[in-house]
Amino acid sequence: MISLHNILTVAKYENRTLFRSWFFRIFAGLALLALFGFNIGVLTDLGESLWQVKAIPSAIPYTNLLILNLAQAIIAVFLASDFLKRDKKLDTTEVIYMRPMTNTEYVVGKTVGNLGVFVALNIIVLVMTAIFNLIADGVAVDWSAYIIYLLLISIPTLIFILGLSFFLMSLLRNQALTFILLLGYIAATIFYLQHKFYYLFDYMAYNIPLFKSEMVGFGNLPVIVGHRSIYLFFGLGFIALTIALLPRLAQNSRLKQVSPIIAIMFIALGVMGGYKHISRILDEGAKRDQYIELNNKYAGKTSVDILEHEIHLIHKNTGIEVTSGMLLRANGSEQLIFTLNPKLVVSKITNKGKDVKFNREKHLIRIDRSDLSTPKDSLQLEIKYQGTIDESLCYLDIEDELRNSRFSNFMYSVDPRYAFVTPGYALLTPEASWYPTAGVTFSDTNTRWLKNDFTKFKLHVKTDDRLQAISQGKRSSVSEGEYTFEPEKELPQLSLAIGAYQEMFVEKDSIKFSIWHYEGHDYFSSLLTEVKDTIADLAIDRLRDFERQLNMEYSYPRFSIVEVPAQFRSFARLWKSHQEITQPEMVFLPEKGYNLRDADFEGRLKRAERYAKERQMSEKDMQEQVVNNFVRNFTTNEARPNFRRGRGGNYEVDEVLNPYFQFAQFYNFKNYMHSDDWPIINRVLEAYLQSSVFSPRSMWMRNFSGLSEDEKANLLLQEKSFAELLGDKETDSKIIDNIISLKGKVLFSLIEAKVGAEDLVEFIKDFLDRNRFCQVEFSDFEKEVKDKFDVDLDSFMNLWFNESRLPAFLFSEIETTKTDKEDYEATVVRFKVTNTEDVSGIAKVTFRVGGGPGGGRGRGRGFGGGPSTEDNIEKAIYLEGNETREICYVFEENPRAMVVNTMTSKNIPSLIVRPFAKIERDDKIVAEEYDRISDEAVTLHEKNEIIVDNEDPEFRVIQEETKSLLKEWLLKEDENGQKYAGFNQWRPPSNWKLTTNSSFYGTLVRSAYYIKSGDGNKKAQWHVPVKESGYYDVFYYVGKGQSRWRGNPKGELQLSINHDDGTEEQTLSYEKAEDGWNHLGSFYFSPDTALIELSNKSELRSIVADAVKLVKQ
Amino acid sequence: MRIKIENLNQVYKNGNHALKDLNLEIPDGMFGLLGPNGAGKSSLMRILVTLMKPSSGKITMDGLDLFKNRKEIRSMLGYLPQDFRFFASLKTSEFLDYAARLAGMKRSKQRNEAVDKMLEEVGLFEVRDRKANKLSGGMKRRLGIAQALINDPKLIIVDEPTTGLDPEERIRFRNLLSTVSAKDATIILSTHIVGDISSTCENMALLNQGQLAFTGSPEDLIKKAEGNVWQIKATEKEYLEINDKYPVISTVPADYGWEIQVVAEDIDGYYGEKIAPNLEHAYVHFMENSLNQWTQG
Repeated sequence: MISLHNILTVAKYENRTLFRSWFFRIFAGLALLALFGFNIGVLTDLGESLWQVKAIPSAIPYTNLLILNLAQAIIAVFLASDFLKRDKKLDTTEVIYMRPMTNTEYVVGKTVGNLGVFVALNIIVLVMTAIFNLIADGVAVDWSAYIIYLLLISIPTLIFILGLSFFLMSLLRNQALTFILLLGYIAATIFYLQHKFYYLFDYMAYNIPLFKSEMVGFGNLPVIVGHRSIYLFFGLGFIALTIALLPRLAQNSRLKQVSPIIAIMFIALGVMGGYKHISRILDEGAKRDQYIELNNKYAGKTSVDILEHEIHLIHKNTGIEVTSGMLLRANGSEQLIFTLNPKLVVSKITNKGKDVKFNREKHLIRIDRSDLSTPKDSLQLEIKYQGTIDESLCYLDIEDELRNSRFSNFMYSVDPRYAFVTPGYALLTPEASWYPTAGVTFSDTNTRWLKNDFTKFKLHVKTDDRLQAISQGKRSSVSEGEYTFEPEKELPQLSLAIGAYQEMFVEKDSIKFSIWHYEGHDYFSSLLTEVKDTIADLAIDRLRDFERQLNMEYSYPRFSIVEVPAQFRSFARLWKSHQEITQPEMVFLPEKGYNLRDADFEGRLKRAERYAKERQMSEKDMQEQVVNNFVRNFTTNEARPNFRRGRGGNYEVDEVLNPYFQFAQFYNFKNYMHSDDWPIINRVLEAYLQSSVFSPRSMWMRNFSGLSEDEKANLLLQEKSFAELLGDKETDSKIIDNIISLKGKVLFSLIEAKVGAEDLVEFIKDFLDRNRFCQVEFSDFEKEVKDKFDVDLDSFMNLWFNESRLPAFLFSEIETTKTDKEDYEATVVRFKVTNTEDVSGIAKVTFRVGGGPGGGRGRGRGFGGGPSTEDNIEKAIYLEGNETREICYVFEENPRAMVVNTMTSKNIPSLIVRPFAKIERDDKIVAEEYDRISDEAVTLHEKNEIIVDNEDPEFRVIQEETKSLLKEWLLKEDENGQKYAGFNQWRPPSNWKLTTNSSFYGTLVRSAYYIKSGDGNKKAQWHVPVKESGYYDVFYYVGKGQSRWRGNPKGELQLSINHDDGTEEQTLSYEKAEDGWNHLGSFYFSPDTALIELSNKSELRSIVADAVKLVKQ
Repeated sequence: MRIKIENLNQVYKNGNHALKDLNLEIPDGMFGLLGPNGAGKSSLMRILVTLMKPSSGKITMDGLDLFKNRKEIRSMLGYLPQDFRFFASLKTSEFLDYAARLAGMKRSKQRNEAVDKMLEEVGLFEVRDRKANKLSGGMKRRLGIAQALINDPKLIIVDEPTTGLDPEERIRFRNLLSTVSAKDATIILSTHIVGDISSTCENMALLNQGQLAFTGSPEDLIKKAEGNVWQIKATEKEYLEINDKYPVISTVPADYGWEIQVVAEDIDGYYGEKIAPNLEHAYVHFMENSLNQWTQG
């Protein structure tokens, strides 16, 4: 009935016509050129190696086709909507339409012709990519990916967009209107819909995860195929509709009736596919809600400690078969409740060999104590179960929006997975609940579920002979494919990886460092030949450095880096800082560390080579540096900052926590502080302990962002209490860590202020050492603090947790002098500080000493916020509400600067840096430390002074808004909506922007306006409220801190002073100006007439408007 | 091929009749379709080539119902629309190959030979690799007829084929059609150039306002005009009067003023003589007298 001959005929000449069109040729040429450049840049030595693409062979065709697809999806619209118009315009339609062919043959032929052109282009691109892939050093080729991505990305996209274009053109018969509609649709999918609605509108497959792992293949192939089928079916449906709408008399009237039916059928399939796609996600959400609901019902209803847990696991093609033997202590609970993944079907439970009745509801196993034949506290339960893993149980605490958010790297998306159980690979972490755990895993109605069993585990694994099993503890192989793991210590959790792994290891100082990489993934040995023998030393040195930095010990005899599929996703949690990629004794690194720049050893070595000559580095030095940089990823708490470029070209930067930071090995897997009253306490202690790993990055990053994350946290704490913020789902998850960390610092600084940093550090270390590998109650900690330091934490806790008011600190000028003290010349630092609010508060001051080792009184080391390296000396200052304290510190050596950290307070910036210039000698000063109450509060101005700051109502900026709407849209400068903007040295704003810096003048908020210099049409004005006529000295405040890094720029500030005798134009040289108040002259002012004006006319790059001061003579 | 048109009507949405109760039989050979603009010629052509469905009526071709046997009828058709052009990016031979394939020539060897032969016949073999935008107007028209003739269709319908062609090309075109008509094919030639029909068609029909005004041979039409065509010798002043009174066929300047050919039953005292009518005269006479097409000034 359908003539293939006719289809191919139409296709052939449609194809030929398109191939010969210049529009297509230019597009194809540009696409090839762009991708040629991309591949050169990414895969060859000529460009900057892109490890995210190079590491994963399938990512090479994937990214290439994504780029091509984005372009071809748009171009196809232009070419396809020409479908009818071209024939009509050239008047060839009639001589074609009167030929003996069906409408179906004609439309299908046209489609095949169009499709053929683009498929040919895709194939050319893939061939080019494959050539680059083959010649690139150390990069494997995944041939199947070339075909699969063509089928998954390009074909459905093209069929859909061709069908839609044909259909709209047939329906509207207006090419311009069709263009507008289609381009509008495309723009909406690219710029707005993106991954929204679970990628439903992502017809180009630009967002939907199509990542293909070398270890496990696609993360969720049925979902991917389902999604792509939606667009394939819609495309075919539209093509069938086009047949029905073709303005040509049907050759066969029966066929004419068939095409609408086929169209409806395909579109219905598409709709069904879409429905299935959405409902799969919604169903999962509903299922998760049910799990949470069930957890809520039973949270805190049981108290069972699992003392010992022996697990026998058989890894089969269909899943896992497990026998779990537990020695339990049931603390008087009437019901024993365990969590086990709902897809693991329990077949039998026995207690000391006797069958036990149990109730299984979703993921919970419930056993009534009354059903146990031996109702004693000590129970020996054995649970037999088998099945696979339902990943919807994982991360119940993570909001669906975040859980379903795009998991991307570079430009491609990765399908997130939380566990794997396949015939060739398995990865099981506690999040998958692959073994029974006591109680429930999460509840959103109470926090009684939070507990940490430290259990004596033993694991037996039987798997395929060719596969290796990796878990915690001493590993012994019983026979091929059979392994036993016996952790030396009690652990809070157990994980298991099974796969075609290969181990590389070195041993040093009784610690075995292993790298478990997948077969064929040893891309590094051949690159690190020079450090092969010293790698153990490098690793152990780094570990010991880290131990010293943390003042904590690594307690396991082994540490492994285990390669896992890139799809494995983990999240930061509210109650613990480490993610599931960190497990006791090991860290999971995604395939070849594809998301870690430092795992690109080849690229890093090449980069090092560029600097090797000038730095006189040997090959070994370079390799050591590269290895050290890689290892540093496990000892740094912040990842590389995430720079984003705003629409106005301004850079914004996010502080990103480093998920590979291995702090948990030193604390979380060894200690757990439990409190039913203050459930967040363990996390707070953890944050406090972690804060010893100081990142200087945050100091300069706030310049980009305008506010540091701590300051953003402070702004939130001004509105809500800690308790409210923890319970509020709207709290920015990026800030919550800072809130917890700040609150931790405040809590422990309270003790520190009373006993000193050194004693506190030693006390905490001792306390944690005494309570290793077990859960300890916070009340025990409180009691010991009370007994040892006479600090009553209990009375402070309620305020600390529930109070939303914050203190505010006013610091006086800091006086530094030198004087003799015993046998040395001491440096004396004196200042006063007032808490202007009626709620107590704590501030920390850190003195940067530097200049090498040497003693110093009050030297702090270890935990506790802000800089705490050995070259810094820390002090905590506790102030009651509305209290003023006079403080004097004495140092043996010269402090270079004082950094005030006001922690949770109304002060912005929260870190104020006060560098010390030349310190004069004054023998009258007595070198004696004190910290005492003063009756005289700190004031920042004298009685005869009037200061107007930019935060005051007497200040205003004048600027004409001259931007066009288009410019405003394109050059939008402030899109984060926060009050304070970052200080952009390179591209100052064209309108006055409010920014903060510790060098600016301010009482609580040290802010100023700044602007790009211009022609003087934008001004800042200070209307000084003079109450009394007379002569006044006029001063202008110049804070130089924000420009210190680029020297002392030349240029002037144009100021005009309106006084009783007229207007005085003043020019203040920025270069020569003092850092602080600068005298402009004396003028006579009558009440309410004083006006000081600053113009933006200057040779400086930017102008800062801060504060003016009038001093009555 | 014998074509029988019965009670054919084509009514547009606005109620205008493009064709009204048309009954016509088209015999073998070349058949001319004459009529003024808007007479319904193009509508009839488009219906005949299955591009348009009539409002009512019936058409059979060798007994096959046009509306029920589109596939069979399309496979017998060749069609050259009035304003034929083709894809600029296709070569002459490629377009002809495209047409040949769609016309049902599946075997490439046979098709290639047919394409080459047809190109020879229409004098385009030398430019077989030339693209459309490089062809002259006459060449394009020849390519048009070539695509209509490829695979020996039984019915060839050509719409205004000689419009815009120079005399040489026009003669060449007429000869080509005559040659084809000799090969047992029916050719329907729709035109408003009367000379095309007089020189080639054995039978013709005249359409006006969607209705059949005349059908028969061109000679029959000419006969109707006998005695009604005059050649007048007129002064400048007379010329202006005559031009207002009668349909003027031709005017030639002469020593005494103008030599004018008009269609009229009588010339009311002007100096002139009756002459033998040709088809053009007959067409004008027919339109003037039978259908009162012209309005008196």
